[in-house]
Amino acid sequence: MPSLFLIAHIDGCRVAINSDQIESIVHVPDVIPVPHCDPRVAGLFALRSRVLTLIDSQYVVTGERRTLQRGCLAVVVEIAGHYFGLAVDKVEDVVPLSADHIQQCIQPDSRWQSIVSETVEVGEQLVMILDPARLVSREQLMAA
Amino acid sequence: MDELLDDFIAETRETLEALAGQLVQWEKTPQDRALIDSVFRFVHTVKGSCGFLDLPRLLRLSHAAEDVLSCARDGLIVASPALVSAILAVVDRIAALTEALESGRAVYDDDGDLIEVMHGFLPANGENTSTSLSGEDDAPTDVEDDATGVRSKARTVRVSLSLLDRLMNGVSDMVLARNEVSRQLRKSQAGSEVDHAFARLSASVAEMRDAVGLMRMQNIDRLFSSLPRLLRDITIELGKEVELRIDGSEVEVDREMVEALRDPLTHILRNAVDHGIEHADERIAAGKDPVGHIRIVARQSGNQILIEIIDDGRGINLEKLGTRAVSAKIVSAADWQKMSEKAQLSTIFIPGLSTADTVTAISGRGVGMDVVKSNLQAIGGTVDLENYEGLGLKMTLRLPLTLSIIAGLTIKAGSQFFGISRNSIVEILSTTNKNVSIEELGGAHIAHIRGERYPYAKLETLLGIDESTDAITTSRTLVVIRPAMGTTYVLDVENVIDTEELVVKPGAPIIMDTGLYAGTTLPDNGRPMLLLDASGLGAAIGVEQTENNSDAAVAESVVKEAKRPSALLFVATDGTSRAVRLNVVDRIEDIDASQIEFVGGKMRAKVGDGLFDVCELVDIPADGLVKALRLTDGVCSKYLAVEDVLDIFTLDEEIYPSAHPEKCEGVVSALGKSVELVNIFQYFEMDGAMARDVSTRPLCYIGGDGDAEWEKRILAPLLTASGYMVSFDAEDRAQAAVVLSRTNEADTAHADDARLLLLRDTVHVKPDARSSIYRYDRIGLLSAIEAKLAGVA
Repeated sequence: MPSLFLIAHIDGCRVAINSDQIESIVHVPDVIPVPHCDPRVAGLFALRSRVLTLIDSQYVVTGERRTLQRGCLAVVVEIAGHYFGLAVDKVEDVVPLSADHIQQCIQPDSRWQSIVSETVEVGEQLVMILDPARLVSREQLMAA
Repeated sequence: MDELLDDFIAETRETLEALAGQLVQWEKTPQDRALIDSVFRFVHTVKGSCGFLDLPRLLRLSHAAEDVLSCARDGLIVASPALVSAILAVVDRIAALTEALESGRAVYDDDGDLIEVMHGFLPANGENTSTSLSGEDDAPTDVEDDATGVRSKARTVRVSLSLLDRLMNGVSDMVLARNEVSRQLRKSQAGSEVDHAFARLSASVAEMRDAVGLMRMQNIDRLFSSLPRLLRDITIELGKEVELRIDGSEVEVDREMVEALRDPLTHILRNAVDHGIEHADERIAAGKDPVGHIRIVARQSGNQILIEIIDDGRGINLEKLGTRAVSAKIVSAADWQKMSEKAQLSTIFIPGLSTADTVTAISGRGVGMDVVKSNLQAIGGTVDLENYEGLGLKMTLRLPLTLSIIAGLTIKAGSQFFGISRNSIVEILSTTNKNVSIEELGGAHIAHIRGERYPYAKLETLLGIDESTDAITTSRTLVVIRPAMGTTYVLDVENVIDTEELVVKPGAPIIMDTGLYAGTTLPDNGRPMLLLDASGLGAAIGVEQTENNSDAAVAESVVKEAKRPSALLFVATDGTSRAVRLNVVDRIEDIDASQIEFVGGKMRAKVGDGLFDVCELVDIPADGLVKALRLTDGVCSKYLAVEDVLDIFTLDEEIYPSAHPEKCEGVVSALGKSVELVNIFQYFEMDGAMARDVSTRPLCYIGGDGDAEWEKRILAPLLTASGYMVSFDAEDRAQAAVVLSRTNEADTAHADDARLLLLRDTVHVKPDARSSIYRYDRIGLLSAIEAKLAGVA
């Protein structure tokens, strides 16, 4: 049975995120920085009455910090009871991908390996499947 | 079927706790029919449900208990400790089986023994038929009982916590949306109709928020109901007799609080029975009731919950405690001598100290009180002790009303705002305060405040953020923080903005890992804010995580400070700085200008239900707030309008005499300036007549015939305002101090009455030479009454 994947861009690369994990895609309002915190955390933002943590997805790949401004695009996901916004450059579309197209034999660049373990073929192109939980996990923290 | 089973488990578990308490109660008052009925009803319900759900073990157990209880109900057997113990054992087994039902684990099956014990209590064997018969006979009455039981119960619905949280989030959303709408409305000037509708919406949103807040609340009885059972187990083990009295079960607390309090309260109760309450013979020797008494009282006081645990045991033997503390190397013998009683008492909260002579299974291992204290501090509570050696101990637990809403302080550092719980804040000072200096010690900074030294750090440096550039010239603010764990330290922040109620939202693990934050919050402006963790910041500064022994010393110096007279420095309405003695200032209030009116020759403010004088206020501003000090002499209160309130200082220097002692008491030096110390006497002295006790007011009888319209309308109010009681009743004439009359003829009979004062209608004195006073001569009249009073007395 095919499941739906969102195709988004991080650091200029196309990634697929399983739509089961996605709550919504929003333009981030004001970002409040969290000082002295893991550099992946770009800050806090409010979505209705909830406070979400904005994750600078690009930092995980490039290792370079940048300031995320109001209005940037974020994919809202729920991980272990907490809500996060994953900053992305842009989003393309939601596409159905069947499970047998997902493969693990082709591994991406080492920069991506900490957050991607599988790839999938979308049309003609091979796309990495992003695992949001690994973006915010503690192991990642150790590695960083 | 699964759903039914879940319901059964939830319901049984809930009732079990209350049941144990009732059983213990029944043991004491075996004749109490209502108690045995409710116990019986529970067992009966369990039995019924078990039969229906096909749970044979529970069925057999409850059936056995029901048989015995049924006999007890009919008066065939009397409650005895052994019987209650046996029933409690069955109840425990029912609880264990119910838990097992949910978790799917197995429970060792020796139910046969329990049932055997149960049957042993039945009046005589071979009467099985009669018990089963009585069971049948009871059936109709049971239905009746159940019906009444249902009717008296509060109507409730079981709601899952996640749904409740969703509801709370929804309401918070609504509040934020409302704020946004209000901002838009202000911009668009939509007109009064929209404003009205919006006001109504606002009110209902606010009400809804309150209601949802209440939904988190739970009756503290849930916590207390398990205590009688606990106490019974302990007392039986220790062979002591203790009576427990619980008051205030109706107090509502946050449901999370109930769980957080369970352990501390258990510890305290165990300690009280084990260490506090003596054995019966010892109690008799001390001239006490052989039965020990423990009283637990819960009440709400403002935004705090107070729980008092009072026992009439031996209290804490300070001498013994000292020996223990010294031998445990917690303090030196010399230090112990110097410590105040309060500081000595508080050593029982230090880990590894116990006053028990022997280690028992229940307590005496020196763990307990420290656990109690740290558990309470974790939820923002405190514990106080009042020791009456030989007579008992009173413990007061103070807890915040809810865990999810904290009284917070918003502070600014760099370009960011942070929240911090107000519980941990000792005081807030300005860096310009001359009592404060920052010293450097081997690279670390230390704040020196009024002779005390504390570790010090700038919040910006701690968090690694930039200081805002425009703030360098202005003064910064020091916040003295005493965290639940660790020593007191000083945090240097750019500014303290406001104090408000903050709704705590948990932070993502990735943020909590820093150890600096306690969570996040979303203030009404819709911009998220980080909550600082007082203990975590202390750790980041490098303050050792040990119990602070100088805590008590600090508290003591504060007490000393308070004993010296203090004064409040303020800017008066005429622009000059003045001081007023702090002990007459009740509080500082902002009064809405619309509540102030110039009536009756004075500025008066309507505050609450009362009308109070406002002194020193010349003009009423068109709108806004008027800052005022509420002064009180213990009996009456009035307000002193001020421009601004500056600081509090101690009156430890000389007071120089003033040239106008009626206006100002003297001149004092406040923070380097000479200011007048306001003479409070002047504000209260005019109140002489008002403050007079009603019963001691002299009675004026106003005589006269006809309708006496003038007397009633003009004379009586004047006299009342001047502090006299007025009567028109002829019966009061005999006891009146002064008799007033306008009509000569009627009073000729009483012409010799020394109390009589005649009034005349004209200015001119009539030739008949009877001394009289013109009725509109107010001053003459009042002084004549005074003269008469003096004459009579």
